[in-house]
Formats: sequence, structure tokens, C-alpha cells
Amino acid sequence: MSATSTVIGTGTPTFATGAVDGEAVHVTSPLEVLDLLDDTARVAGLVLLIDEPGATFLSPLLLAGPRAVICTAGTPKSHLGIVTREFDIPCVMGVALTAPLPDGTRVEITFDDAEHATIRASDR
Amino acid sequence: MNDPAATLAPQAWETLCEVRLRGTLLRPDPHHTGELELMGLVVRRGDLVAITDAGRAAHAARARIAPGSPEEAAAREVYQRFGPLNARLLRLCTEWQLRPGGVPNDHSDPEYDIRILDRLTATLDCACAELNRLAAVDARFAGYADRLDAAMRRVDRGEHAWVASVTCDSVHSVWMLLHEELLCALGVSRADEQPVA
Repeated sequence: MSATSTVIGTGTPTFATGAVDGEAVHVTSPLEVLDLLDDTARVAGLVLLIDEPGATFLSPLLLAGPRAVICTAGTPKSHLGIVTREFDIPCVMGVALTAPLPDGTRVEITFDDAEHATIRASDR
Repeated sequence: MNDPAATLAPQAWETLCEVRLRGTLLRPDPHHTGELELMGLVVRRGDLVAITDAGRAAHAARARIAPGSPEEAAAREVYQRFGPLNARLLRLCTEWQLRPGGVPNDHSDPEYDIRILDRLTATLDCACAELNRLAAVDARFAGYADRLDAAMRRVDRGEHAWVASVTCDSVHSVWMLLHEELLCALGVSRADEQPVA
């Protein structure tokens, strides 16, 4: 992570883990899942930004092992929380973003305690 | 023609339903997806098939139970009772994965596991009673009770993955499909659903 970064949101982690970072990408549809799977090597470095805690179409992408998931709604008990735990993928639910998070932004997630995770975007 | 799904052959329609409910489908029978691809309802990339916006719209039109019909009233009644059952099931899946304090459940405490599984079984019993009533008025709901029961029996045999794994038709996987099926039948979008804590 770069020396300067800005907190852009907080949320509830689905399980405790160490800090992770990666490249943010907003995923809203099954077709975007297909596009991202064209480059599976890249998926390992991605932090997926998801709007819908009940999304059923992410499984193939989660199988490819993204770095982390950020969901702007829901709770750790939501469908997405349960599914990401099955894959052991760090995930933060119910994130209120205080700034836009454009695709390609470097983000870092710290899991502060059982109830809180913080998301920072690198200043470029 | 504003309802492209209306004339689909039964197998193609069933495949469209499955792609819609799952979002993507791995290695479906090409005989069943060819027509859907030509119509732009699904897109294939390698082994994966995904629903398109046109596919979602076509599915929504045909999957919607006629508004105002007795079948819709029955489905709406089940859906109202589904909300609290859904909250219970999601909580139990979470407690199955994580013990109090957020500690991963390593399944070394059989008493803890049995308490969760007993409550899961009770929740599914309630759901299956509802589903059997619903299946009597709408055949698409006929298979769910058996699929949930089959998954739960594997769990009872000690196959833990059948609680919540996404790589098999686990209790949680089948439940998600059922949830999506109910939403489609009633024309409710997830965004409109009332969150249940």
C-alpha cells in the first residue's frame, strides 16, 4: 500500500483476518463475471465491490479466488457473507462508502475487530 | 413479439430458468442452450453460460405468476412466511460456520454442531410444509422440498459441506435458488425486499 491513503468506508467483517489489499472492481452482472474470468490470474489480485448481498451469480468468480469482497449492503449473515466464508475469502458487509471507488483503485482492508473493518483507498 | 420465452421448447425453458436462478451455469447441455444463445438470452464463454439482460427480461415475463390469481395468492402467503424462515436459515448457516465470538467452527464439539443441526432440521420442516402446499398449485416448486431433504440427509451422515457449500446442492445453495424462484414468481426484486435482521 502506498504511504498515503484515505479511509473511504467501514463495515462489518464476516470473519477475522489480517489486512489485505488489491485492485477494486465493481461487479454487477453475470456478464461481468464472464469478462473477469477471461483473465483468472488477475482475479487473485481483485477486491470485488458488490451492491447486492443476495447475489447468486458470483460463485464462478469466487471459485477463482479474489483477494477480498466488499459489499455495500447486508450483514455477515447475508447470503454473500455465508458464501465467502465457505471460500475463506475476506469479506466486509454493509459498507457505507464515503467516496466513489472507481475500478482500478488500490484498496486496503484492515480487520480492526470482530465488528469493524476499515477500507482505505490509495491516493494517486 | 414481446415475450420471446413464450415459445421456447420445454428443455430450453428449463435451462433458461436454471441459468436465471443461478446467474451462471457450468457446462450445460449445448442442445439446450443453443437456441437460447441464438436468441441472445444467454451468452456462452468457454464452459460457462451466463444470463443476459434480455434473458432476465424474457424469464421474468414467463416466470411471473398471473397477478390476482389464486396461485399468486398462495405463493404470496408462502413468501410472507418465508422471510422469517430465511432469516433463521441464514443465521444457522452462519452459526454453523462461526462459533460465538467469531471463532471458525472446527466441528470438534459435537454438541454444538448437533444443536445447530437440530434447529436447521426444524426450520426446514417448517419450510417443506409450506413448499408442499405451494407445489400443489405451482409445479415449479415441486422439487425443492426433496432437494432440501436430500441435502439435510447428507449432512446428517456427517458430510458437512452439504450445509452451505456452493460447490454442491447444499441446504444453503438450494435455499438460495428457492428464494430466487419465489422472487421471480411474484415479480419482487431483491432491492425491494425488506431486510430481515
